[in-house]
This record gives sequence, structure tokens and C-alpha cells, in this order.
Amino acid sequence: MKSTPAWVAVVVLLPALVNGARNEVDAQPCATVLASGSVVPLGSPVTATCVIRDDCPLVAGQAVRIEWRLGDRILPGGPADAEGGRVSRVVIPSFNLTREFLTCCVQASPAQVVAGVEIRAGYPPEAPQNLSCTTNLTNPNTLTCSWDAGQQETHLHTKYTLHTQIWDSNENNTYEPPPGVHRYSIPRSGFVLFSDIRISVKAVNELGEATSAPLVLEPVSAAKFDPPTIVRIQTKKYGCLQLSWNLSQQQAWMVNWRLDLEVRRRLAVQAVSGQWSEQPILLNGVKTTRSVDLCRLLHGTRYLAQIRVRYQGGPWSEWSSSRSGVTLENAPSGRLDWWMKASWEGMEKQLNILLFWKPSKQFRANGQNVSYAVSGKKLAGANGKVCSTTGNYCSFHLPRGVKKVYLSAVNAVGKSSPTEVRIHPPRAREVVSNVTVVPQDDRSLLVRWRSQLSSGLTGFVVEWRPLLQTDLSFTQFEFTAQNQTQLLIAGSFEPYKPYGISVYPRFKDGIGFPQTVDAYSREKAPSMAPKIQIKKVWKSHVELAWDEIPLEQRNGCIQNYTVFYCDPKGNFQVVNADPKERRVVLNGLNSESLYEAFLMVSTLGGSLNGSTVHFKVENFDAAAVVEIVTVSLVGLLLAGIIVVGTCFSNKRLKGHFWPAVPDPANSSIKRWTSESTQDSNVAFDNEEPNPMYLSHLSFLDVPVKPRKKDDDPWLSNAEDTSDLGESICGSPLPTDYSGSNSDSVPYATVVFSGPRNSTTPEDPHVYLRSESTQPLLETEESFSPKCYHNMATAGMPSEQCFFGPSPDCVPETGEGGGELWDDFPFLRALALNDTEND
Amino acid sequence: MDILLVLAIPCYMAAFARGAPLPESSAQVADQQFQGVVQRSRSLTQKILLSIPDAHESCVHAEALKLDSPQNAKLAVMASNIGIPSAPVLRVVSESFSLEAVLRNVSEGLQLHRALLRSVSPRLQNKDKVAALLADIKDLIIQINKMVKMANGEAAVQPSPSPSPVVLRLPGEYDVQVAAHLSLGQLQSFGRDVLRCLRSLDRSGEEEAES
Repeated sequence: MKSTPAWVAVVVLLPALVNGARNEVDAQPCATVLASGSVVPLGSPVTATCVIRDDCPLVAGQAVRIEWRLGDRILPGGPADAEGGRVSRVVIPSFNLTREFLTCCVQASPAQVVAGVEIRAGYPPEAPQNLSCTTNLTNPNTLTCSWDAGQQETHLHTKYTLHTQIWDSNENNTYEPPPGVHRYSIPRSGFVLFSDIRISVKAVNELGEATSAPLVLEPVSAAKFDPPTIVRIQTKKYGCLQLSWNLSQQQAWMVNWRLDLEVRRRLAVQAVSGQWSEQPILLNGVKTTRSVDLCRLLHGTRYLAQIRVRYQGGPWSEWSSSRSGVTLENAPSGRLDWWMKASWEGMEKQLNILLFWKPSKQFRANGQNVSYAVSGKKLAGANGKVCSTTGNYCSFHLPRGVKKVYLSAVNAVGKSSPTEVRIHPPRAREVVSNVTVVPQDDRSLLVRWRSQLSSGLTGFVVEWRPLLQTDLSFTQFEFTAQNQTQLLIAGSFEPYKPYGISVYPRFKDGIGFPQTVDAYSREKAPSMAPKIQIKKVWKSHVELAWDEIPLEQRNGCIQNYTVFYCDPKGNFQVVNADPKERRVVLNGLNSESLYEAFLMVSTLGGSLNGSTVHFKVENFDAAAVVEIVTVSLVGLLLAGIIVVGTCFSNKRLKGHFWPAVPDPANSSIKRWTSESTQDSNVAFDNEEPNPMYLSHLSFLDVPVKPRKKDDDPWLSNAEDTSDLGESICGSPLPTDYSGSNSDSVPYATVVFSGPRNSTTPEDPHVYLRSESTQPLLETEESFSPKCYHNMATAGMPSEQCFFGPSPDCVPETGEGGGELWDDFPFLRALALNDTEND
Repeated sequence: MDILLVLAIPCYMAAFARGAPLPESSAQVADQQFQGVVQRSRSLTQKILLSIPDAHESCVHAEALKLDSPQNAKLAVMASNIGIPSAPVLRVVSESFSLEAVLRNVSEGLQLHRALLRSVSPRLQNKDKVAALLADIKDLIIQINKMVKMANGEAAVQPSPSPSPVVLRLPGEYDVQVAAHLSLGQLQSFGRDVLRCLRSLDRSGEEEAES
């Protein structure tokens, strides 16, 4: 509402001042303003007339000019009427203010306000809406009605009155709530419980009135009862609970009335969740003198029940307090879902079985105390019990060959039909990879994985357990289909606690290797930071290490270890460490500075700084000294070896100090085929420019017929074999010969496959070359041709192994020995001679 | 009237009304609408009987004045001095006493007690529960009058004789206390008789516990 201007006081006081000059008997205002209405609809036209008295001193004997003001605003005045212009009329086409003063002024010096009137504008009231009444049957009994005033603001004071009319007693009452309150409680004397009452609300303001739609009701039907009480719960029938109940003491007089009653129930084990999952059951026309049967319940199960009541469509009472009851027990029914892990023990003679189970959706324990039995035999009562427990898992051994066991639930009444558990040995197949866990909320985790296509894959098992709990009964599992690669697992995941989640592939014939990850539903900074330990100190670097954080204090997966260190000048350095290694080497340190460092350990939920340690690197680095000394000694040793080697490699020096003695071990015989001869010649020409001088050349005749083991020419024609001793004893070499290998003397033997005189080119002959470092074969000059251990350029056939072992050539035993003898005809001849001698 | 006689009436009526057979001719009683009113009346009577102890406790502070106390026989003279009239005698419906006559007696007795409590109520310090009790009595009267109307065939309703005005002599606070005490006690007895009477009219066949 607009505030009243200060000049309004002038308007009020002015007539008195003007008239004060007159005598008290004739105390009439100098002017009057007559408006078409002091309260008008907002936006409607307003007409006002100002009439100035002839005897008003301000206008006595002079022309008058009248001016209109609406608040502070001057209105365009209409033409003055007759009568000397002492009457003025103004029309406001649309009065859009909720409250304002309209004043009439006389143009004088100064201008004077001679009269005024307040005009208020608004809207007539709307009819009250949503009238509703509720009877309160708790002492004191009242009938409380409330309503909505309407959407439109009237801008005017609106009075609401509640009107009642009782048919049976012919009473009419009116009640007026306080201003601004749109509800009223009718006292007990104002209504009759079992008589219809007509109630309406009337809204009245200066522009009109409106009445709500009447509400006719029987007060007792609009009663909201106090919460009833479940007196007791009895069990008389299978699957049913019988509830005895009553109303509150103050409403016990309704004992014979038929009320609507709703029952809601829930399993007592779900009481912690705080929600009633069951749909309420409506029972019509129930008397408190009769109990209520609640049926179709699980056997042997404790239920919590609540009730509420109403009468003839009235408002529901609040729910009663809970009361529990247990239905009659029956034998367990349905099957159990199971999950088994098997491992071999004792050379695969028996299997270690870890069997978990959980109720399937169809399973009903039907009793309070349920245990579980694993048996090797299906029939009840038969021997062969493997284990019995009240938990959800069992660990036992089975001999190899057992294909199945049977799992049953047992209660006081009986035993469920057995669930068959097929025993499969573990399968070494790895199908699952890239297991990741994403927390969805505090109570669920999304597990994702990848799987390879594998024959016989039937699905997956997701298993999870709290890592801080050693009890296996906390292990839970869920099955997924073959084509499923993610699973939302829900449960009571505690934040900041680690859970081990494994995904196992299921095959037709067993379980494959799992992939396991640690997961948290919510992470925060670790509760402790490990203490830095200084492991090693060098001249310019230091190795820091630390222990692992205990699992219960990690509060999340360790993402990072960060070492912050600084020198006295405040130069900070940061080094990240591998979370798995838990060590770091700080390099480039100044030996004259005292460093301080601290460790920050981080999870996805936050970081924690550890305590600060101080360290200083050593001025004298013992390790460095040892390193330098070692390198120096090795260098000196190498230098000495080189010098000595250089000295002893000088032939002249060697000749002076000791004579050359031939060594049979360093002698060799080489065979050339014609092809290899050519090759050898090429190599000879390229690599050995010096000609080869043989000390002796002998010829051997080899029969043309194929070589067989039985008639090996080297065995049957021993007389054709040149005597080795004879062959190695030859003429001395020319004196002017100078070979690169002066330690050996070369020999050659040509073996012909045909007659010696034959010139047939198709019959390749074999050229056997031998050499020896025997001094008797040498001239006085130190001379030895180059050793021909191997003439092949790449690779060496096994049959070409001569004279002792070689790294690349190891003689084979067995039948290969014959071939080896074939390659050593002279030795074979000697061996034959030895045989003959024997 | 001797107050002893007044207090003895409920006992008499209890024995009388329990075995009272309803004349077979009174087919009106079996009417569903009539039975509905009977149910409501029974409930209201129950409500009144349940409210009386609370109302008594709220307005009667004299420790010697207890409901259902044998000492109440000593207050016969006081009752006479104060001017508390006795309640009408309720009889079982029979050929001698028609349903309408019985119901009129019930109505008359209820109006009497309503008048008694209205007379004493202005003198009470705590009158809220008495006011609520008066409202309940008024409701019950309405229901009884409905039954009277039905029993009369709604053809020619005999105007019920307006009860003689109650003028209590309450010179002092003790008289007020005794008047409230005797009025509530007499209403309690009368209400029990009314309840028995109504039960005899109830054809629902339901058993219920006595209040």
C-alpha cells in the first residue's frame, strides 16, 4: 500500500485553519469533494466534484481557479461550472491505484488545498475454493475446515465467515476466523456427529461478496482417527497371521462401527531398510471386535505389520506402530543358486572344493533357523554327508572321479529337495581381460570386462567380497550370460573399504582363470602416509623408499606417490614414483646442502602429505672411489696384457725363447670335392694369395660300386689305403717357401672313386688335405701353412668335421659314427690295422 | 424423590431390560434405517459413558465425591436440597410400554441430565469436558428423537413434553461440586440403562463387551 504523503495532513488540517478565522458556530469546511465512490473496482473510472463555498475567504469576491491533484500528480481539470467557477468536476477514466488521495486546490498565492477524499480500488472477492473439513475425534472434538482464498489479490480487506447449517437440529451458526486465516475449528457444540452439516465460506469486502460451494458431510465420516493399535498377532493357519486390533481409548466408542482397514506388512529382516515394500491390503467393513486374517505369507517367516483405519471414505488415520508375528514353519522349498571353485590337491588325486550358495528367487526357507547340507547322495537320510552349515559356503575335499554332490536346505520341519551341484575340475583357460569397476553410487558398482571368443563358454561369474573381512561368508556372486560383459552389482558396499571383484569365465566343463581387481565404492585420501626411509646416499643423488600403506588405511586405490624435496634456498622439486615400486632416486643434489623432503600419497578421493625428512648427500662418495679404482686397475691390467701380448707375438722373440714343437691337435685334414675345390680356389685366389705347398701327395683308389655299410671300401680294401705314416712322411718343402701359417705343414691326399689312371671327368675325386705342426715335418725355418679346419663358407656339414670337437660341429653318436669314419680314412685304416693286430 | 431410589433404578433396570423380549409386532425396529440410528445411538451412549469419568475428574475436586462409590448414598439429602430431579424410569418395550414410550423416556431422561449439567456448568471452573459431554448428550437426543419419529411412523409426531425447567439451589461451592457429582453419577446410571435398552433394539446380533 502506498504511503500517505505528508501533505495529506495539510488537507486534513486546512479546513480547520481556514475556518479558524471564522467563528466556532459557523465551523463548516471551505470546500467539499464528492466522489463517485470512495471504493471502486481497480481500473474503473472515478468522477469527483469540488464545490467551494461562496463564503470561503480564499475565494471571496474574486475569480477562482480550481486544480485537482491525485497524490502528487496534477490532474487535468475540467471546465469550471457556473456559479462563478466555484464548482469543478474531474473524471479519472481509469483508477489504477489501490489507494490514493484526490484533492481539490484553489490557485492562489500560494495554492491552497481546500478539500480531499481518499479513493481505494480493488477487486471483489473470489469465491473460496477447496473447502474441506476434518473431524478430530481426539479430545477436544473439533471440526476443522480450511479453504483457499482465491488466486486474485483483492487489495481490499476481505472478511471470511464460515456458515454451518445442521439439518437435524435446525441450527445455523456463523464463525469468523482471524483476518488472514483461512481455516477454522468448529467446537464440539457446533456440530452433531451423526447429523449432516452444511458448511460454506463467504468472502466479503467493500466491492462485493462470494460464497464457496457448500460442503455437506456427516462429521463422523470426516473423522481422522487416531492410529489404531495391533493388540496381538496369532498364527493359526499355514501362511496366515491373525491380527487383533482396537481403536484408541478416546475412540473406543466406535467399537461397533464397520471401518475400512488397511494392512501393510514386510519381512522383519527388511526392517532395517525402513521401507514397506508390500502393497497395503484393503479390508472393508471391519469391526474392532473381529480380528483380521493376513494370508498368503511365507512359511516360518517373521513379519512386521501395521494397520490404519478410516470411516466411510474419510481420511486415513496414521499407521499404527509395528507388531511382529511369525507364520507357521514348513519344509524349505525351491532351489539354491550355487557357485563352486575347485582346485587340485595331491597330484590330482582329489579336488579342493569351495562351494558358495544363495537362495534363488524361488527358494523359500519356510523357517527361522535354516541350515544347509552338502551330501554325496541324493536321497534324504542317506549317508554321504559332506558338510553341514548355517552359513552360505562350505569347503571340502572330493576324490577324483566324483561328478556331483547335492545341496539341501534344512529347517526344523524338513528338508528341501536337493539341488544338484556338478563337480568340474578347474580349466586353465583365460578368457576374461580388462576388468574395470566404476562406482555408480554408494550401494552399487558397475563391473565391466572383455572376453575372448572361446568354445564352450557359457557365461561368467562375478564374485566380490570385502577385502578387510577374512570370513568367506561375506563372498557374494552373480551369474551373467555369455554375451554380457558388464554387471551392476548392488549391496552394502561400505565407502572407503576395499572390495575384491573377480570375473570368472564359465565353460561347459568347468571354470576358467579369473581376472581380479580391487575396487572402492567411494574413495578419500589415505588415513596415513608412509614414512620416507633413506636407503642409499651418493655424492649427488639419494634413494628414498617407503613401506606400503596398510590396506585398511588406504581408503582408495593408490594412484600416485609424489616426493617433494627442496634445498635450503627453497627450490622445490617434484618427483613421481611408481606406486608399485615405492622408491625413487633423487638426482642432481648438491652435496653442500641439507635437503628436506616429504611424500604425498594420492587416491582418487584425495591426497595426504607425510612427515618431512632431512638428508644430505656425502662429500666423499665411497662407491665412486671404488668405481674409479676398479676402472683404473682394469685399464692398467688391459694395458699390461696388450704390451705382453705384443711382445710375445713377435716371431723373432718367440724363436729365441723356445723351439716350435708340432702339435697333433693343431693338425688337420681337409677334403675337397671338385666343386668345393673350385670354391676353394676362388677363396684361395681372393683370400690366400700365397700358393700352398704340400709336403707329400699320395693317391688312393676307391671302388666305383656304391658304398654300403657291409662292403665299405674303407673296410674291405684296406690294402688300398695309404699308410698314414707313409703319407705324412714326404719330401721337405722348398726353402724359399714362406707361409702365413708357419706352425703347420700341409699334406694332401687325392682319393679317386675310380681307377687311379682313369681320366673320366664324371668321377669326381676327393682331395684330402692334412697339415701338421709337427716339427719333424718342418724345415729349420719356422713354417706352417694356414689351418684348414673348415673350407665351407657357410655352415658345415656334419660329415665334414675333422680332428676333434668344434663349437659348430658335434659328432653324432650311433649310426653317424660310420660316416665319421668315412671322413677319416687314415684313422679308419689305422683302426683296421689295430683290429688285425688284435 | 428419594435419591436412594434414583440410584437403585439402574440396578432394577439392568435386570429388567436384559431379558426383555421385543414384540414381534414392532417391525419398525428391524428396519435398516432404524437399525442405523440404533447403532449411532449405541455409539453415542458409549461415548457418553466413556466421557463421564473424565468430565467428573475435570470438574469435581472434592476427594470424597467418587463415581460408583457406596458413599454416594449419603448424598440423598443434599440431592434433595439442591433440587436434582430423578431420571425417568426406563422399562422394556412390551405391550404395556410401546417402543415410542420407551424412547420418549430415554429422550426425556437425556434432556433432564442435559439441563442439569447446563445448570451447573456455569459454576464450574473447568467446564470444557462438561461442554463436550453436553454436546454428546445433545447428539444422542437427536438420534433418539429420530427413532421416536420412526417408531411413530412419521405420521403424527407427538410433540415431546418439554421437560420442566431445572432450577438448582447452589448457594456454595460445595453444593456446586455435589450437584456436578450427582448429575454425572445419575447420568452414568441412566446411560447404562439406555445402553441396555438400545442393545435390546439392536438386531445386528453382534456381541459386544460391556462398557
